[in-house]
Amino acid sequence: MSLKHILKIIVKHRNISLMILIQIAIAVTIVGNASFISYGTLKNWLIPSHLDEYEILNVYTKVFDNQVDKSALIQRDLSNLSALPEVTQVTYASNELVLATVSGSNQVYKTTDQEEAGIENAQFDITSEGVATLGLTITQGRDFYPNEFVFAGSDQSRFASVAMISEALAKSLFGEQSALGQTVYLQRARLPYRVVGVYANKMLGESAVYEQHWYHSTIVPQAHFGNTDINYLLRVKKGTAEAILKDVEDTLYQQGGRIVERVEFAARAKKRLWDGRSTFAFIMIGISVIAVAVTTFGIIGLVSFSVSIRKKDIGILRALGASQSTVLKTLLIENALLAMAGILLGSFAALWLNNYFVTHLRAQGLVEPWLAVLVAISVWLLSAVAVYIPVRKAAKIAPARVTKT
Amino acid sequence: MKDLVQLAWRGLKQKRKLTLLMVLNLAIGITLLLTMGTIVTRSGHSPIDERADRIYHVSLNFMDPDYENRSPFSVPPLTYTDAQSLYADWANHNSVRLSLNYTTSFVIDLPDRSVRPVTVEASAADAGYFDLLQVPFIYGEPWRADMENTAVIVLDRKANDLLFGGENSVGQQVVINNRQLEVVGVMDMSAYLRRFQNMRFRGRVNDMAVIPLGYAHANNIARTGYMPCRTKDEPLRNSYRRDDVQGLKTAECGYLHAWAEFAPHNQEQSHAELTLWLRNYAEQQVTQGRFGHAEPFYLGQLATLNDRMSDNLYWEQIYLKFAYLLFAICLINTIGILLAKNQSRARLVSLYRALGANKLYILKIQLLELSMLSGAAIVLGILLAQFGLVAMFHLALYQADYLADAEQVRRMYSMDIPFALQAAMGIFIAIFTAGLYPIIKASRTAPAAQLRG
Repeated sequence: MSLKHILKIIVKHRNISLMILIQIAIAVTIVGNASFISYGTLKNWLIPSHLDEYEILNVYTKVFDNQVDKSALIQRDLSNLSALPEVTQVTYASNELVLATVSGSNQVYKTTDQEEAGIENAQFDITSEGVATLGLTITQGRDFYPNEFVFAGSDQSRFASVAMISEALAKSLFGEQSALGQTVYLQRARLPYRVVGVYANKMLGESAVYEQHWYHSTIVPQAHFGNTDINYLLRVKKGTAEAILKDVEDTLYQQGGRIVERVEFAARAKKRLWDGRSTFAFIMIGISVIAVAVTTFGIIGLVSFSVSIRKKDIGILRALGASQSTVLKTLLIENALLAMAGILLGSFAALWLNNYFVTHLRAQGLVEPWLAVLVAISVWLLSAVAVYIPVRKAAKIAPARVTKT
Repeated sequence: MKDLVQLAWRGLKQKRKLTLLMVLNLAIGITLLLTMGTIVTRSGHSPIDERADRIYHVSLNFMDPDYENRSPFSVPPLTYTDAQSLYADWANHNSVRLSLNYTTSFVIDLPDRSVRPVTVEASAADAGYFDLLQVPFIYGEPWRADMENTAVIVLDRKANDLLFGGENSVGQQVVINNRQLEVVGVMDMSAYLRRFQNMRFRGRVNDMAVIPLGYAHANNIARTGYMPCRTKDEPLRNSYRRDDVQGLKTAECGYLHAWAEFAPHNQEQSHAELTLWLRNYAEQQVTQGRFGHAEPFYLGQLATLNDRMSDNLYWEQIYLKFAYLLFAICLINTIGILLAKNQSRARLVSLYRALGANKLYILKIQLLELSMLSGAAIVLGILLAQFGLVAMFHLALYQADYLADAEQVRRMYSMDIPFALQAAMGIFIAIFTAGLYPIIKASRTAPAAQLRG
């Protein structure tokens, strides 16, 4: 049967055709948008952290009693925490914790030029066991010497003179040049630090990850005390159970005048990086699955109906010598045309809606052409399957049927 | 009528599979629509909704001319001086009640350190805070207006549970910043889903304690909320937050949220009076080199802010839009299934017609049948939406990394019966309208037309 005939049939049964078309268009709109929005998130989600997520602990505490001697408190905490049997290393961390930017933003600069825009960077200010706690592997240069560590009140303006940076940051700052011996300038004050070591990439900084600098980080052998935040990083033995969280909390509460806000595995901090956007992605995927299911059933229903009112026509066709496969092919082509029109319409609607979401509802939906094509092909295949189920029956209509009336 | 019902019921039972498919299909669409609709609706609700059209957030825009006011929620709070002027002229007005507060956060400890201390989100406020919110008290009562400078505190039920195990703590002492305060009352904020007091409208936590504004200023309780400063004062902002309360009193930094509630009988007049006052005040300040901004003041109605708030739930709005799209698919399916069903029983209808039933009668049977069907789908949809809301509640907690107050979030994700009924009505009308085409088509079946063969 020629295409012209098929088009004629479509026009003749325009109401049903239109319903199938609209349904497919809406399904494409939903699924298309959901995949644009979810894809970006899930792609980020899968970036490896290279972290021992269940061996590193973030500890957040606050000292609310201003009579407490913070320097002494930190020394006591460090020795009490080291005494826990599961704990292998512990460091006071006066700036960021693992995947938790506690305050402000940490930028790194190549010069002291005030005009230079900084690069987002995770900056870890640590005490002597810091490098081991984070489990860093030094690939170039050396570790810190004990005399390079600075532990001072935040009002004393004493800073370390050296730092280590991650391979990714070294590449961003110095390209193919060696980073060793170069100077980096940290934070808004643009304090200078000489790079003595470069370590293998780890996903460490919350703000850095948000800015898509997954592996940018700097380790500085300095730790300042003075404000209310007193935070620690701990390394525990492999396979340590969750009970350690409470043990750490209890240990810290032995010192008065403070509150332990949270003790968590780095894994939890990592979850928090994505839980907002991944929840959004999951819900969108959920809605898409429902939409696809409902559409499939809808197409099966509509096509069954459309076939049932055309039984006579099909019977006549068969009586005139059309084989089962010809009938099947005709019906499939008819619906494939409808699906294509629907997908085309739906794709435009999806693009328009995506644009609306991005401009009005702050969604992060990047249109990926290959993803759009994938969605189109999948919906098209799905509609073909949905059509095949009722149509297969129709093709079996006996030619003699037509003679009944 | 009885015949009609009977015939419609029989109609439902013919082709049971199709009937079931139709109910399920509609129920899925309704479930999603109700779940997402409820979340968006509940988000804009609070116990003081009835008064929300009479309550206004008062903002004087002291900021530099290039200050960009991005949304009605980011209008600058009042500076100390402006708040004083406002208070001096309006505190004793007959039909306007004024309340001032600023956002803070502190750790509450007990003098004997018998339980672990608790970090709380809190407000420093005048006694008008309690008039504004009309928050119920479990124990004790608010402090009196003449106790602005005394060391007293009102705890929320959650803080009282943590510190005193839910016992009556009125008369007990707590410690904040090494100073003792006496608990005068325990309030219950659990029905207040959003912390609107400081214009943030956050839904995850609300005030867990309130202390008197005078006391807070005198003892320099930190200012942790939104605090825009004019460019000249910007560098000192952090010091104004925690240390320099005396400097803050003359600084051009806004941190005090003022709310005005107008008496119902005098609402328009009070609004006009306050507007006039704000305009005059701003004009008068221009002579002192202030108020160079093109918009010198803002009066934000709480009812409008509530509405705008739900517009800001970007993700939920996206879900809701998708729910509408999905419901559209379900409606199209309904038309399709109805057509299929009517096709398969065309003979029966044609027999009815042959036996004397007129078109109207056929129409009535089918409409009744459709009503029963949509009724069943709506009931099922409402039931399933309960599960939908539970699922969304758990996802919301997951999303907040379980740091949100679960009780408060749960309230936001629970069924809103008036909304559900309203939505059900709309859904019913939609199904009915969609169903008209196949039904009218069926009623046009000629008598006995299908009875040959």
